[in-house]
Amino acid sequence: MSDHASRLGASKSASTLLVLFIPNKDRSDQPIDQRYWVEEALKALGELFGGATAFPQGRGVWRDDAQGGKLLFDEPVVIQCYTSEEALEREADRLKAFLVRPGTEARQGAVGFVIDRDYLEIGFPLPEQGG
Amino acid sequence: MARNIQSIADKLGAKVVGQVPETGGGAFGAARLARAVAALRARLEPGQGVRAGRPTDPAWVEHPKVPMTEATFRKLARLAEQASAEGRKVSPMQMAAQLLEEAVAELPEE
Repeated sequence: MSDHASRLGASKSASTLLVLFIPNKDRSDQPIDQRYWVEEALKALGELFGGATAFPQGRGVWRDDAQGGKLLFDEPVVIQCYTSEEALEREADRLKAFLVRPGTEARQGAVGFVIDRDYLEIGFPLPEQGG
Repeated sequence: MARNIQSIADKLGAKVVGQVPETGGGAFGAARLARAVAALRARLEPGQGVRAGRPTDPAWVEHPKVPMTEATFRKLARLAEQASAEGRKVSPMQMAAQLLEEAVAELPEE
């Protein structure tokens, strides 16, 4: 891979693909400000790893086991970011700090992402019911 | 595949849920297969019949025989293995059904 980079005169060679899914609904099926979260994700990935690309909305589904297996359908934006394992390890704390934000502030059951061929989730418990 | 995935997952406070299939080049292919696997994981429920425990989709009420080549079946088997997770075994024909459902859903209504 680095051989290709040197032949092409490229200044950056990244072989690990990080993919984030930005939903358009919360775990109660209520719309969230997806555009804001896409911008925030692009900013975070740009700062941490040097760049990212957001693709148009797809169709997705997630099973919320904390709500009895309720299926939540949404139209996520997929964001791809080429980086390296070393950079992921180095920036893990700051990446985690960002990933937790949509989980809590946008009321998600989980934040899902892919690193190469592994699908990972950071789960969030249901908030305590008031009253 | 990331060599230190468990280490990265631990640092992020994340759980490795499973692997997604090899999708080849192209962002759209990657997005499509990732969606197929996500849909499978969300939709399949433990069966209640004679093979209880094998997950299935309760909406799949038709069970036609679908002819295919050996090569296609081998590819389905490989994808199914990659889509399987601990306690959630996906069969080659469940993978076939999911891909068929998605392909047909893309077609325009009559």
